[in-house]
Amino acid sequence: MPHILIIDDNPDDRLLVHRELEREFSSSLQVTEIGDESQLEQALAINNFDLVITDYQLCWNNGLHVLLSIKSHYPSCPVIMFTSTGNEEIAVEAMKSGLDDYIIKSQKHYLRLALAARSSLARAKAEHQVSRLENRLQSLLNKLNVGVFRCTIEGRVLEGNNAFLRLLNLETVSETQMLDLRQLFWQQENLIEQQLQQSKEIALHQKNGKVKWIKLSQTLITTEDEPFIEGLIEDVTEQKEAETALQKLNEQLEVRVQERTADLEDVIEQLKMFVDSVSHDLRAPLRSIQGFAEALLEDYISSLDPKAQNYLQRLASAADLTNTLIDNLLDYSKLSRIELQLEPIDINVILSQVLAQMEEELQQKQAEVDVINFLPTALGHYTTCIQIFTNLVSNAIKFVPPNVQPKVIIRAETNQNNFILWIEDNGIGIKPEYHDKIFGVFERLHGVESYPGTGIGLAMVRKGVERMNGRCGVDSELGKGSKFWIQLQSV
Amino acid sequence: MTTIHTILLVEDDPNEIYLTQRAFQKANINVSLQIIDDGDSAIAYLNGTGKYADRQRFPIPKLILLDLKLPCRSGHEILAWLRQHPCLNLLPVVIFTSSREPADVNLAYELGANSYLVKPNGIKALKRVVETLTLYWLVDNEPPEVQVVGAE
Repeated sequence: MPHILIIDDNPDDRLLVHRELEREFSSSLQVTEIGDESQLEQALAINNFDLVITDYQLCWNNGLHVLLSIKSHYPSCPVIMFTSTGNEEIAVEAMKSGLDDYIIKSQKHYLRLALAARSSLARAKAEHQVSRLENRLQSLLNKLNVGVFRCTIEGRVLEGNNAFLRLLNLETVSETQMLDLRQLFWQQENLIEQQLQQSKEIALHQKNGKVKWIKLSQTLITTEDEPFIEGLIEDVTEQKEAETALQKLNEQLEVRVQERTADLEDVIEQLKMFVDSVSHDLRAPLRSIQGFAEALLEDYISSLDPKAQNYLQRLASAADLTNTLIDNLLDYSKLSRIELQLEPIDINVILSQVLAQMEEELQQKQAEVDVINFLPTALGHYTTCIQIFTNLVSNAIKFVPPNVQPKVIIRAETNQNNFILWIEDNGIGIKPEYHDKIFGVFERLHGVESYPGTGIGLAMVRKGVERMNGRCGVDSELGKGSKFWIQLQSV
Repeated sequence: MTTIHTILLVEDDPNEIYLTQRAFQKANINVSLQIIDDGDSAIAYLNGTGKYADRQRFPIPKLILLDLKLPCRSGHEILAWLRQHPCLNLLPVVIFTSSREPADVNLAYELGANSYLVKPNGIKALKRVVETLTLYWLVDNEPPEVQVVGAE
């Protein structure tokens, strides 16, 4: 509800104005009538009015004074002068001082007064809203960390918010007058004229020697044929520094990876040389030892007594065993070194191959091998699978008590993505504390006399299974047979 | 009268040489075994240069038994050289070595080895290998035509 002051020393005139206003605003209106100076001062002190209608000729003063007094206190409050005693000079002077409307007091103008009051109120309200919006916008702009500016195409700054000043290390807006953005941002480029929008990063060299990175986004705007540039600037120094640090770190990492790779390659090279030396140099003298021991036995058997023959036989078989050990070690290291190409392998085929190869051994021991159910197809490596099953079946028939017929059962247990193959025997069994140990290289639980072997078979099984992304283990108790299992991926 | 074939044995270990020679004797194989114990000499022999200039005494072999690990030049290098040679490139070469490393085996075949034998353990096995080797390469196998060019 608008609150209107009516200042007039004539109570009848006040009443007339009052009534006219009530008619116009249909009583949704608050009116305060002021007839003397003290009332005016009181009203001015309270400040709860939206419009002032004043007469010119007042008994204590005149309307011009009232106008100045109100405008000096409340610049946005509209004032209408409604008088019969004024003249054109007064009207002009009053308008210059901010008067909103000047209406000559006469009978026919009462209606106009009411309309003028309405439009003054509306204008004041609109202005108030605009200024509030502007204030809010300005305060937002000033709170922003992003610099906002407007400048001419020549680079002269027209406007800039606080952040703009701060980012360019300026104290006041007036300092921007000294600034040539063309020099600062664009230098020799004319890009902004070729494309309407652009964004780029600029390095600003600071007085302290540091570099401040600014991200500039700008738009060329043409209003009323006069082009200007609106832009945003953002401090991206931290991002830029983080990027640089990251890049540096990456480079360092790259160097380190290269160093490590070189070290590793070196080790691999040395390992290759070692393997090379084992396979060439270590075998030759061994073969000679074995060869000459056998040659002695062959060529001079008649001049050797049984003891000498026995010694020579031991010599030859020790050399032979060492050779087998070297073979096994090389096979084992080959399993670790060589990349296995995995492909679908039918375990049925593998097993029949293995059993065919071992036929002589199986017959000799009168071993019985039963494959319980159909075996699955695994993701594996052919030769490695053959090695693994040969080792497992050969162990199963080897480690039985004397005079016991070896019985082996092979069965499969299929799961979702993999399956487990069980190789069960009726052998001597393994104490649980040795279950893990037996998969180590050269680990043996029995003397060569009772159960011959090099102790590398199960190490090969484990390494091979691992290289095919599987697992293996054993379930056994002493004297109750062993159940070896291997888990492989299904196809 | 049958011609006595020449086998060139390139081998540096005197014990291996001795045992191989013995195996040939034990197997009663009538061949002329020429022994060369380093890589450079093997090439000189095949080229017929230096002290090997006399082709009567050092004839072009029917078969080369080549060890891989040799002084001066490896067996692989000799093989590579031989396969580039304008006249001798077709000579049958059997690698006779201790190594079964895939890298060694594959490289040998890649360079043009005709066969790859791993030296067996024990003299019985060695004799058997020597027997089958000569039977296959000197009797059964149809040899290539190798032009004998005298030393310059």
